Amino acid sequence: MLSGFDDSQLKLIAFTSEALQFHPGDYLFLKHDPSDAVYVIMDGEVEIIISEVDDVDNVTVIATLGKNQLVGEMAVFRESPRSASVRAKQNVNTLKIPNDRFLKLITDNPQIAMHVMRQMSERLFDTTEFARRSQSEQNA
Amino acid sequence: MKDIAENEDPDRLDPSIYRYIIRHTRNDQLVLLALTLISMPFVYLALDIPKLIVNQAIGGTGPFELFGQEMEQIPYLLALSCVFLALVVVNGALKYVNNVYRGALGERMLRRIRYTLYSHVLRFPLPHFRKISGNEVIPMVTAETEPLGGFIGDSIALPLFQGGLLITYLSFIFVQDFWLGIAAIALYPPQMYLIPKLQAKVNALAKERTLNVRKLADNVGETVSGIVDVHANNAGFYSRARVSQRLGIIFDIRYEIYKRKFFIKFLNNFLAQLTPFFFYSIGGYLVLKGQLSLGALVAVLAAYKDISPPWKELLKFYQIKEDIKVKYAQIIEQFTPDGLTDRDKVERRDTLPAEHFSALVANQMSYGDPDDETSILPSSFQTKLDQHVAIVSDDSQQATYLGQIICGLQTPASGRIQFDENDLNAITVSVLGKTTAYCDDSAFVFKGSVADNLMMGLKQAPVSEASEGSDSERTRFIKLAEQSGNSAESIDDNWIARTTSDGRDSQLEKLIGDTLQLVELDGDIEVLGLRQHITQQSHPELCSQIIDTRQRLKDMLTEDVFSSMVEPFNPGSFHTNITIGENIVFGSPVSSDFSLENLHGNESVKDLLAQHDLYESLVQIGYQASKILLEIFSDVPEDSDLFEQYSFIHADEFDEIRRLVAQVEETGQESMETSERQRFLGVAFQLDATRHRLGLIEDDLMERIVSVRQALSEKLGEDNTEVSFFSPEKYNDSVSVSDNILFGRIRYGMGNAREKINLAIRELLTEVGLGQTIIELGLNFDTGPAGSRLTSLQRQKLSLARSLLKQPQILVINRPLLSLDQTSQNRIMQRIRELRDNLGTFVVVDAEEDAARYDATLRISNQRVSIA
Repeated sequence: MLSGFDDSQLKLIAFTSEALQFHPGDYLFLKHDPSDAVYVIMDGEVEIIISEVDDVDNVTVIATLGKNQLVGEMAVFRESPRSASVRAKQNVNTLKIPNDRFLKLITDNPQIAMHVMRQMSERLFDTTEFARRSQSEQNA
Repeated sequence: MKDIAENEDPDRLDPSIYRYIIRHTRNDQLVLLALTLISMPFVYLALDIPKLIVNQAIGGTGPFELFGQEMEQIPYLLALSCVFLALVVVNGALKYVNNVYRGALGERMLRRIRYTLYSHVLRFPLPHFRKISGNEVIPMVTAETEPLGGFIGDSIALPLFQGGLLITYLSFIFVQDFWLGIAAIALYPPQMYLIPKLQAKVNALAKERTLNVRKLADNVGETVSGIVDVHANNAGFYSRARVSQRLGIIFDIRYEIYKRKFFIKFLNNFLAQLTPFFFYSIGGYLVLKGQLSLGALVAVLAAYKDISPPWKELLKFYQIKEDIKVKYAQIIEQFTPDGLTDRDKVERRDTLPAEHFSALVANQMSYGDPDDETSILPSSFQTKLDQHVAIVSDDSQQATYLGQIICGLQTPASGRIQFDENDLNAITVSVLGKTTAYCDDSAFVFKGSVADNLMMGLKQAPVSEASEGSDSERTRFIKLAEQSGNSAESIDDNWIARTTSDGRDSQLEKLIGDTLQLVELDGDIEVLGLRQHITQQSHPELCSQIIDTRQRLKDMLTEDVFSSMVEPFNPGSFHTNITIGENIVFGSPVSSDFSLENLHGNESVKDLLAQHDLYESLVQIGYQASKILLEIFSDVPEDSDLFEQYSFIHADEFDEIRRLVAQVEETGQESMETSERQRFLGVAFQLDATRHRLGLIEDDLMERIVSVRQALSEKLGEDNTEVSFFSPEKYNDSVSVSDNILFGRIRYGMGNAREKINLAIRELLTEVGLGQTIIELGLNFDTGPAGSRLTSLQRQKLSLARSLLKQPQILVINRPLLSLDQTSQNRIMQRIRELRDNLGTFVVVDAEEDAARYDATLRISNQRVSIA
């Protein structure tokens, strides 16, 4: 995602965002949390979990995201609480971009917007596939 | 249950201000009248004695007789002068007593009228609050009543006193000469005819002015309440224009008032100056003709000089009275709306019925205007009050109305709603307040502590007197309150029954703890407690216990985990998670000279930096950091909020820094002025090694900064009053409880570190037995105006906890936790269900399927309520 920026934009993003490390099992955010930022995964993998936070016996992972992928953008676009929890699968380094900064970056840079849209389309495709597979398993 | 008596309301606002004054101050006005009458002969004598002195003691020949004693001229003169002096003292004393009495009376009445207005606000029917604005009501209770108080003290006494004086002076003139008396009053009739005519227009303008000032207050109040939206929509220009227009209208009105008022004044002055013309011409003529003595004319002229002030006072009083009449009429118009609740219903305290109500019965009950689609049309239903009932409606407003009607907060437009055979309209607020509770998401949190808000519903009446304060103070407080018709109950008394005399109540504490846990607010309260600031003076034992927890926290998390998340304060090492300035001070600044913003101007610090060869290095770092920052923000518009959010240079300083950097690039660092070096020093002080990641702080520099820190600490000494240094063995009064436990900073870039540390601190405090103490600190947390220091979810949870804590027999829950996710809401509602088994609970639900979980359903369909 960050490859679409020039040097000066990258410096500004680096300065105005927060580099955060997470250990395996740490949550980047929880389902229903307010959506205050998006995360760019710089290193490592995270799991997207749609089950309720306190439902520890029935954790449902719907996707795994890795390096250079964006997470948390949907709730920021929808201006709604998080629809899923995101958990670090291993040691993860992220860049946390506050929601207002992120929206400004998207509106100012069409190539970044395209990149984000592509990622979101792929994510939608994966989720549909996940739903389809789940239904098939249930029917079987 | 007793019906509410239809008796006379002592708090009523009479349509005429004079009726209101006489009803409340009849006896006081009689006292003032007596004082006025007593003073009159003395005033007359004080006028007569100078005439005796001039005509007899100086101008005549003795012997003279005074008080039955015969005396020569000089003793007579001295005796009369002494009598004159005595009269001056007596008149002054009487005037003093009169003024103080009038002042006290005015203040008492001001207190009464303000209290009455406030009491009326508490009696307004709820729908009336949709028509009025708090911003308009506040100046009516505060500023607009102010002149009313002053006037009430003067209302009868002043015209009587000044009128009495006038009559006394006039009588004196008439006694001297009838025609001179006529001359003195000749111009009164035209004044008495013209001035009311002119004043009527001033009154109308004054009314308009008051209305416009209220609208201005409303404009300002709305801007304050909606400041975020004003800025977010860039509505500042429009808001300014709106206020400017309002101020323009007020200016025009006031200008018109001034013109008319000063014309009245001009007319009065002119007419007042015409009278001496008659004295000099007619009086002079009579003296020359030998029909009037010169002494009498001099005395008349002196008396006339005295007539003028009372006459002017009377005219001024007339103008004030007219102004007050307008103000009073406007106030009572606002404070006596239709449907004002009966005073007895609001203020009478009834005992609770011995048994719980068993049924809610509605008989052809309707609410609101039938043409309004949110109104409820006549409906009859009945439901038991020992079960949980869902309220379902397509229209959330109708559900809200029904919920509020069930709690007696709204009055049906027709029909009846009853608890068993008791019409809700006939049950006093004191009983309804204890029996019912209502909460929704708009619940208000008042300024005060969390505990004050939480226990609001428990404070129904004082249960015992406060132990502090003397009996005489209390007696005085009650006497003054009663004289003004105010409540004589003191908020310092104990309003909550406690089981022990030391003010603690383990049952109540447990109830509060359980309730907070039920609504999942306990964690927040602990966090608020951890954010509190306490001092070693106020909490010596707790502070010492907190110091003990510092090491235990490290032990609990293990040294490695702790160090990965927290960088402790070590006086011997550079701290990489605070700024350079904070590293130098290494403590909490008590004096503003040591605050981060002012540190670059602090001479002691600058001297120490120079001594440690650090001053120029930091100026250089400040210069380098400024250059980098200018480059990073080069494409950012100047008005962007990014500067404020992320830059360590404020947006308004950016231009100056840019100019300085350009100048240094051109002429070199050596040419910098002292003040310019200081600016770069200030930038360097704001630099945080880890957060800003500019790579400008090297190891050698860190060591020198630590040396300066130590030198500063030695220079100021341990017991200084300017900086509270970070010390591993000492509690720091200037930082929060949490920071005192942590004694360090959470490392930058560690995801979830704050949450993990907070959780560890809470677990630790519970383990060492300080959990309850921290909750108590949290309960003392100041919520700020309208609860602004709490989040909206905390406010909503607090409101729900407040309703539950009251343990009402009937509780209406109208979606109070809208800020919370549905799963958490369901979890809390389930707990409420278990807690309030067999107690009437009405829950407004969103969907028909949610209603299935309840014992019964009140459904509002086509504006009618039915039970299922």
